[in-house]
Amino acid sequence: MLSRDEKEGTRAARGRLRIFFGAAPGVGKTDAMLAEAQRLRQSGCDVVVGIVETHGRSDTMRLAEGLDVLPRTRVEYEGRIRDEFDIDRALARRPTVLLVDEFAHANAVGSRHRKRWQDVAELLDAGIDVYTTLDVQHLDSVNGIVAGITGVKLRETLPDRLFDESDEVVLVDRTPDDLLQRFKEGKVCFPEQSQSAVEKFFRKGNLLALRELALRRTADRADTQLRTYRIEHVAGAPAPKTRDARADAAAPRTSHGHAPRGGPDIRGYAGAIALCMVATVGAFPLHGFFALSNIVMLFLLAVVGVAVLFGRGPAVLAAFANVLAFDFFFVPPRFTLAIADAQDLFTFVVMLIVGLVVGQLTARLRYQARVASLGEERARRLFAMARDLSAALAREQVTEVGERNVIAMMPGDAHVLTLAADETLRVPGTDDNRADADMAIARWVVDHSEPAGAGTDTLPAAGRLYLPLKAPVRTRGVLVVAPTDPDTLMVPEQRRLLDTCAALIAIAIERVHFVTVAQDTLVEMESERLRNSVLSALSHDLRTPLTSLVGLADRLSHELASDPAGPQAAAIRDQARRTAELVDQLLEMAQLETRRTELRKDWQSIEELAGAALAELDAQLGGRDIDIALDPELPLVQCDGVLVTRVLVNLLGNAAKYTPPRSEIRIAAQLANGVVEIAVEDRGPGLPYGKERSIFDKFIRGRQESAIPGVGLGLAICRAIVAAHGGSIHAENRDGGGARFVFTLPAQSPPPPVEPENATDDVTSARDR
Amino acid sequence: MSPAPQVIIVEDDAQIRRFVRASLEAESYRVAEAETRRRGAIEAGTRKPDLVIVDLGLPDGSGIDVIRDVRAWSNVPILVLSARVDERDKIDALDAGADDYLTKPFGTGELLARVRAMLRRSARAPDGSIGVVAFGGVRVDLAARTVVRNDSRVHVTPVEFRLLAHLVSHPGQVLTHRQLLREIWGPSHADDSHYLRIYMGRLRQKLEREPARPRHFITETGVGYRFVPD
Repeated sequence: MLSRDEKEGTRAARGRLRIFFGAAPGVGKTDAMLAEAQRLRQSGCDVVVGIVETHGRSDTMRLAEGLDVLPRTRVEYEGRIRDEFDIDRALARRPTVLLVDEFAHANAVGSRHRKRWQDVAELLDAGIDVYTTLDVQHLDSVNGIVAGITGVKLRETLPDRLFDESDEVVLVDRTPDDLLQRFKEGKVCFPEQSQSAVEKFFRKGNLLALRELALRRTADRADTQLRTYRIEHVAGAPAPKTRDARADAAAPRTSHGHAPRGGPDIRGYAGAIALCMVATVGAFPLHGFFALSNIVMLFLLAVVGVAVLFGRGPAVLAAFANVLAFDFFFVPPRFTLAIADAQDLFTFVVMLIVGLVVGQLTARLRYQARVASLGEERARRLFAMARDLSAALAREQVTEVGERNVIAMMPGDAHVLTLAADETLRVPGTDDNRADADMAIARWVVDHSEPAGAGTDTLPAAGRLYLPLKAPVRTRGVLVVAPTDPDTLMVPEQRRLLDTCAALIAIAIERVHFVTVAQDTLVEMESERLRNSVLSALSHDLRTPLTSLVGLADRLSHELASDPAGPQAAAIRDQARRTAELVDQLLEMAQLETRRTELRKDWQSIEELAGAALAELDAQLGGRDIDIALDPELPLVQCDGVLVTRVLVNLLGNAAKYTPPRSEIRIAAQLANGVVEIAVEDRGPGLPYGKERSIFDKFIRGRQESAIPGVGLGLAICRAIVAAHGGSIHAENRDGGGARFVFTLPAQSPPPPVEPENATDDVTSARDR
Repeated sequence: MSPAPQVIIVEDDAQIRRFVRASLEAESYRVAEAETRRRGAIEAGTRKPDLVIVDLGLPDGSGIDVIRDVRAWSNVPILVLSARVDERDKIDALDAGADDYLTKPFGTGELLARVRAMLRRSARAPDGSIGVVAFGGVRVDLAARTVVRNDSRVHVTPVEFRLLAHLVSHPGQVLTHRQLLREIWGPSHADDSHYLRIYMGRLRQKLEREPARPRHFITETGVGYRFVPD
């Protein structure tokens, strides 16, 4: 407790530090600071400009007009003269508030302190309030990030502690588009950087990132004093307009400032008095004809009337005013407040009580009627919105309907931003991330699924309300609401109404999203089906004639066995077979490419697949020696047996085709680093230098003018199959001549164990049981 | 002397029918042709065939339907003609009751070899009466449940023996994975194909000269296994 008191004590004695904080040079921090200073000056405060860099901008100079400016001191160092802030003069002058621009500035060598923030600290210690400016990039913790993003490294940095401990941070915000516009107009000054670096810095992406950093950094400060100066952007706004906007921004917008709602209430009380007067005047002619007790009724009627028309407060006033008027004008002795008969006192009390009670009841009734009709109106609007949303078929429609309905419920501006497929926030139907909706805050809202902006705990000064569009599955976007009257956002019913709207829009977006997904899937299935039917029709139509061609030619070659034409028939048969093989390969390739790797995976033994491949190639391999070197500990592998056999057949077939007869072919397989590695090696001429990779491409052959038949699809098919299994394939030349093709298949965890046999090893004993 | 065997070809392509017929008639088989599924069923019902050859792609229905039709009342051997890439169809055909398949395109030699083997098998006495099967230096005595290789006793487990016995009693015939798994391990294991891989591997280790290049226990990749006696 004591320490806190102490701290508060030192705080009180110390000057207060207010930082005008921005995302980048040119957002208008100095202008905002000067505008605030002008305001203080007008309210009679002693404000002095310690140092302000106008960079020759006329707007800024104009804002500084009329302010007391301290002369600068000249510091000479190595023959160069620099104008610097004169701290001694400032301490001597002792203004209430001192403006010191560019908090992170490094003083010229020879000054009292190396850094300007040290000057500021001294001023604060002397009890002077200091206003200063700071860009987010100058913060130590952020500097590295900014350098990474923008490529611009800054020398002048500031310890974060100073930012966090400052008494007040005013975020000066300007949309990136607006800032870029200003930059193009030459209104932005960026000291100590080359032109090219500055050009690099002022890119929209960079500015967006910086803005987000600035917002986050500000939001991180647990600071109730946070205020935002927002500079509204008007696309392509001419210069004067910007100035207007600045003037507007210069008047700080207090987010909690309820303007005294004097108007209607005062009118109510005036009305109450007027009605009382009417009742009094109206009662005069009746006096003499009516008993006093009946004249009272007229006054009671007036109270009821006031309650109905103006509500509770005026009704109370009317009740008292009527009692006084009745007493004064009608109760004898007339035209005095005195009363002759004690009975009249009773009348007054009853009259007052009745007046008050009736007034209260009537006023409450009136209020409830209003609430009910408002509630009904809300329900009707929500219903209309739900109905419109349910009819929407596209995301753009949902957005449009949502925005229109929200605006109808709360006059002003509303935007729906949705998450695009690449997770960026977009206005549907455009690739523009609408400039006037604040993307950085919107992004935060989506990431945290929590509302932000006006009326919430996060960045309450933001002027707009950002509501997450929370759908059952996930957050799908942001509803940005900027009502004409920001105070409406503070009303709980309105907030609840907006929350409901956001939920309705979210559900509609999600519905549309899933409809789209379903449609896409349907289209995909349909085209897949079409592709398959075309493929199978093609394969049938090509294979059938080839089958008869092979068969008939074969038959013919048998019948003409002793005829000179016999070998020709055999040649026809062989060519037809080769063509059929080619058709198979083409279809296989087409299927592999289109069928999106629909593998029939199964536990396979490599030994068995190798055996099957060798059996298929029996004729081609002739009497060759095949060296089979399979690791006996090789596990079963999850793969498509048919396709992996095809890989082996192609590799072994190549080995047989391209190597001299009787040269050795070797198949080896081993488990290494979680993959099964299968190699086919030969002792042929090897691969042409430099073609180790390209031979796996379609229609590429090792040697173009080869007499060996083939079109070069085999290895492309191998590569496609291996890739579909998540493996890799490569080729290399062997030491000592020959080629080696190696492919890998991922080795999975072993298959479920085989049920143990409940008999002993010997079959004979099983029979004995 | 018994009459020449009767073969029925159910095939929609005239040219294929033509050369199959020519090849078979050259070996003095009697041949009947059918172009459609309906016609095939009628021919099969009226001619008492010794062998039916079925193409899987027929205009009025799949060849598999023909197989089912025929299997409903007959054990006649059925040979299926199909393309290389259609493993699924082959398995379905075999599961439906076909005995063997021939991949298109095929030559006369392959066709006749297949036909002869199938006719020989069906001419043999029904299953069970084969007491002893001998191949490649191995003798399997089905009654005594013993396996002898190169004159020395080979130890096999009961499950290995059941698998071996089932394979050798269907020589030359393709048995699909599913058929084998059901037969040996029961219907609940119909999808545990790794059982087969492991047990086939063990049988080959024990009985094949070169397990990686088997001569008798042949892999029909993607389809099943075939036992070839010699």
